[in-house]
Amino acid sequence: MNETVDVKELNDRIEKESSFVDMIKMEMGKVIIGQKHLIDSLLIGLLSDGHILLEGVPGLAKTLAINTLASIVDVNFSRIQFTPDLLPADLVGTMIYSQKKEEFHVKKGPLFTNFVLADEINRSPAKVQSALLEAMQERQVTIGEETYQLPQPFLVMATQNPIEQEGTYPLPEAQVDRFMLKVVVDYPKFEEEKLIVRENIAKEFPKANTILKPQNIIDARNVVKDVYIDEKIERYILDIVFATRFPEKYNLEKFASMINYGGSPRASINLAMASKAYAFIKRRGYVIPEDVRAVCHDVLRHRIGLSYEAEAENVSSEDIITEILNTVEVP
Amino acid sequence: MSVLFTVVKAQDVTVKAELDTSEFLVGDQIGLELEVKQPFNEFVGIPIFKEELNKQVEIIEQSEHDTTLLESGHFIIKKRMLITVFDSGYYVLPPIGFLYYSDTLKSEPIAFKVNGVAVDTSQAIKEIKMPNAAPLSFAEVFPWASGGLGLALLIFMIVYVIRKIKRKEPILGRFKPREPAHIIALRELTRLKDDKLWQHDKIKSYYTILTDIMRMYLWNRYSIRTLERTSEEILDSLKASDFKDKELFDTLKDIFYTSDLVKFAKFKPIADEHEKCMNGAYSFVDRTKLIIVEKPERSVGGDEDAESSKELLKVKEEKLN
Repeated sequence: MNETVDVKELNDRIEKESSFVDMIKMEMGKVIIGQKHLIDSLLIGLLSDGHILLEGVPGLAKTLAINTLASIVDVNFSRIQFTPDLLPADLVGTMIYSQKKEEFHVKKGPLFTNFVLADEINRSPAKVQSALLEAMQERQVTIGEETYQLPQPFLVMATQNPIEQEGTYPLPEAQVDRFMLKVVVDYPKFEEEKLIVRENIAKEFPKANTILKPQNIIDARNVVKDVYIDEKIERYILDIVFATRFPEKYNLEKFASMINYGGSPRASINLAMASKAYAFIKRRGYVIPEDVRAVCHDVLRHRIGLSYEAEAENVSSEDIITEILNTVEVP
Repeated sequence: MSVLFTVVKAQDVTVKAELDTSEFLVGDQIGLELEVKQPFNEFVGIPIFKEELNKQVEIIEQSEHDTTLLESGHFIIKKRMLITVFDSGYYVLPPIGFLYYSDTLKSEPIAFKVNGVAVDTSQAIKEIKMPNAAPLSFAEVFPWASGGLGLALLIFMIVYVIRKIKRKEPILGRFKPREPAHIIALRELTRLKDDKLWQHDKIKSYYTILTDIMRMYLWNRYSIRTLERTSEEILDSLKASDFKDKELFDTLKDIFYTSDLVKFAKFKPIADEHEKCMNGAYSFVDRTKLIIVEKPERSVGGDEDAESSKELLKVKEEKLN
């Protein structure tokens, strides 16, 4: 623990540096009605260098949200529709032989961009998913004998359609763990949907302005790393993650048979990182338990393996996380 | 009366079948005896029957062979059967065959009459009399009695446990009245004050303990689950529990917010702030405590008053100041 950190000075700095958050929210609000949680999650992923897995039925503005974010930050954006016949080379690129020059040259794939929307990621077989997830993890792609760094910032937002399961290839648990957040996108509220309809039938659809450079995001990420996280909060995070592994030690014996595996150390790291980013969005220089609780569901819901008993009892990972939060003592 | 038929064969072998009576009531059980008299060096096979002699005559019981040696050197072998008939009328029991080497010795057929029950048609028709009830034995009563007792005990236990849980009393052991929430909180606050933690630069510990005391007090006093909730959630719950004193609410809010800053943001308040939080905590506990007052006994009254006077304690919320 860095004891020399001056939280007051850090707080002032974050107050200043995080002012763009309100601007992003304002610009996104012009295009996206409601979906505040989705916007916050996008910002958390963007600021903490984590990728996001979105789950929601079609038509909930998932693509529009990331498209808008890309236009606000002035970065390149690719949308890749995953299909069963997609190949890894379609993502990362390949070596093309030029008859004119009589040599191979590299044709980079759509992953070489800042923001990637991997639409319906579970429609493609495992080898394509692996290619994407490796690129997400390593931030680099190897084509032929050359390794290429992906541009910064690099954010992948993948979507999964929970309705249609036929002909899909569910992401393996080990790979789904690489997503920092799994956000469940829900339908807008009645009044929000009224506004959505009104905006979409108007002559001109609102457009977000470009207000940030990629460098601003990279700088902000460095500031997010400086957000102070106390040892008590670290212990709280570990208590939550350990409760997913050993529920019986936290008076949650009823879940012992329902959990096949709990959160990994990556879950603890991501929970801490996401909490810091959330504190930053809330323009605070330190993490409080509220921040941890706010991001806990998104960070952990895809990292808890449920057993057959849980499915038989109709217990979801959401229920388990909620119960853990209601049981683990807050510092 | 007996009916006897014999067949005599060479070598001095005789067989016979004898019925106890030639007339009996329907359903009566009558003996049929098969007998073979033979020299000791001969062999006669007595027939083996299953459940009936013919379609009408049923065999209820068959005895083992009974062999007797006579002085003349002959054996008499007897087999006794209990037969019955369930329909009235005249019957003829067909000849019964006894195996004698390759030949068969047969008894004569036996005729008998089975009488029905005489019905007095001049009398009114009565209902069939039910069988007499046998007296209940202890072995029959015991399982039901013990089961009923066990069920009653189980119901009593369930009611007992539910009542204990509702009253928040220990299920086992004697109920020990719980110390009032404010007594515990004030004692802990005094202990914290005496420990002089912030004076020894243990500011974080000071605020951690201070908030723990307040959270415990809120849990005991308002039954708000505080240990698993954040400051914001605790304050929201207190507001939802119809807590109306805004001044006290703000005092508590200040304590929690200052403590959060100290605990999570390395904030170091000035000495006055420590005192202010401690005084605020004392004030909050003191002004929200539950007062237990004794209900005065009525001077005049019947059973109802006497019953009422047993309710010695009544909990009343009283805010001082």
